Amino acid sequence: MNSIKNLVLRPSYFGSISCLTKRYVSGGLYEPDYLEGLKPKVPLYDTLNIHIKGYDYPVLESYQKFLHNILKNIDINVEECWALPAQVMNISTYKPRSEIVNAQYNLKLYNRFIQITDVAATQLPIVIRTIEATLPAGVSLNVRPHEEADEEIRYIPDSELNSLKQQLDDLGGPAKTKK
Amino acid sequence: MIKNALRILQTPSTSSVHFRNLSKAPSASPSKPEKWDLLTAICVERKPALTPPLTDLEKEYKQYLQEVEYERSLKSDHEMKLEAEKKVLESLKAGETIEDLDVNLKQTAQDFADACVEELAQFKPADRLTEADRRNDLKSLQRKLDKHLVLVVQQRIGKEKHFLLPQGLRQDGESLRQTAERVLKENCGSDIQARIYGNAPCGFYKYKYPKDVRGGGSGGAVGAKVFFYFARYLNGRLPEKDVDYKWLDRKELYKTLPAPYNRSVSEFLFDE
Repeated sequence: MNSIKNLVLRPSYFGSISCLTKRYVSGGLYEPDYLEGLKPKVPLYDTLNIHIKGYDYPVLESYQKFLHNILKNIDINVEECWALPAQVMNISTYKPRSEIVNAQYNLKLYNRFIQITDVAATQLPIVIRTIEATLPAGVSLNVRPHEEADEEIRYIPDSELNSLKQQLDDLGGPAKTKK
Repeated sequence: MIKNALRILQTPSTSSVHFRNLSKAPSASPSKPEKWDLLTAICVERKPALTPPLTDLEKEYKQYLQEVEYERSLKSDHEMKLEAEKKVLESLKAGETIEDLDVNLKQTAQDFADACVEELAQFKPADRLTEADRRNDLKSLQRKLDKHLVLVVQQRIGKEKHFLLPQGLRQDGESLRQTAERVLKENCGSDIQARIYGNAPCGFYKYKYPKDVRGGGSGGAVGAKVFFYFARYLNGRLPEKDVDYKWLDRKELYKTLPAPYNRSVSEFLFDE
């Protein structure tokens, strides 16, 4: 406890040359002091993805616009917003103990992603509480850190290229040239 | 020493303003710095399950928007089918036979619409007012499904018992967040699960002990500082026997909590 006190609370008392050995200096002796001051005092989250899903398309779209506005107004850096193709579900209910179809439903689960960067650790709980409070009925929320898989899934695989590669593998690999 | 420790732990939130005032006081007086007990209180909130009912203005506006949207919209596939079938049926009635019937008369669009209406009539949505509402059972979580409910627990402060957010003293070597988790387990049992939002507290309340208690014992604290942590209720129940608890919505909460305490608590809770 005492050592922390010496380091953090009484820098002004170190007036002599001996202070240079004790003072907490990062970046080196020859870096200006204001660089230390520019660093954030609270740790920041790197990149977070806010994922909202819903069956009702207009509600989801307008909520994404609303969220983007809110985040922009509280000075959070909104990096990117994207959508993935909707999940199409065909549900059929049957009459009891038979295969006669009672009713059929075609449902689509739409989604939107909002990527935010450099949120302060003290700010994020407030942001999440605000989003939860403004969530409309029928929309579900999921906030999680960004992963590579989230980026990979956005790319549409080239089926022609993949099938050609598969054919090449089946034939025994590329021709080995002499060099 | 405690004051210096607090300065290290402080966050850029409401607490910093209080510390700045405090740091002036001890330097003015020549006596040793005051000692304050550090407590954490945890605010466990249950999210509403239903949307709040619309006000009259909201209902009218919603009605207006729906009408405008209907007027401006194009015809859907279903409506086109209905119109086509109507035409075919009329021409069949008139006696003309049409050769290529691309209209399926077995399951017309009208039949489909009728079947849907029938199914909707059979579906009965649950009641907005649950049984707990009717009995006014304050311990139940099924009460007031369109409001946020906050947990209050009866605790003994000094000589009196009050209904407060569960709170407890911080022990050495614990961070405030760990204290909050421990306080929840001790006061509300190990069954209840709540997710605390963030390592930083969201509110602050300070009070001085009455003069006869102040400075008593080895601690010698002048008063207590309570740091509030916000948590979302996930699931679990409180024990029925040892603990006297209530789940209160905003209005009831503001009536139950003591006035100065209430002012600090209402600052970090969303209005309803």
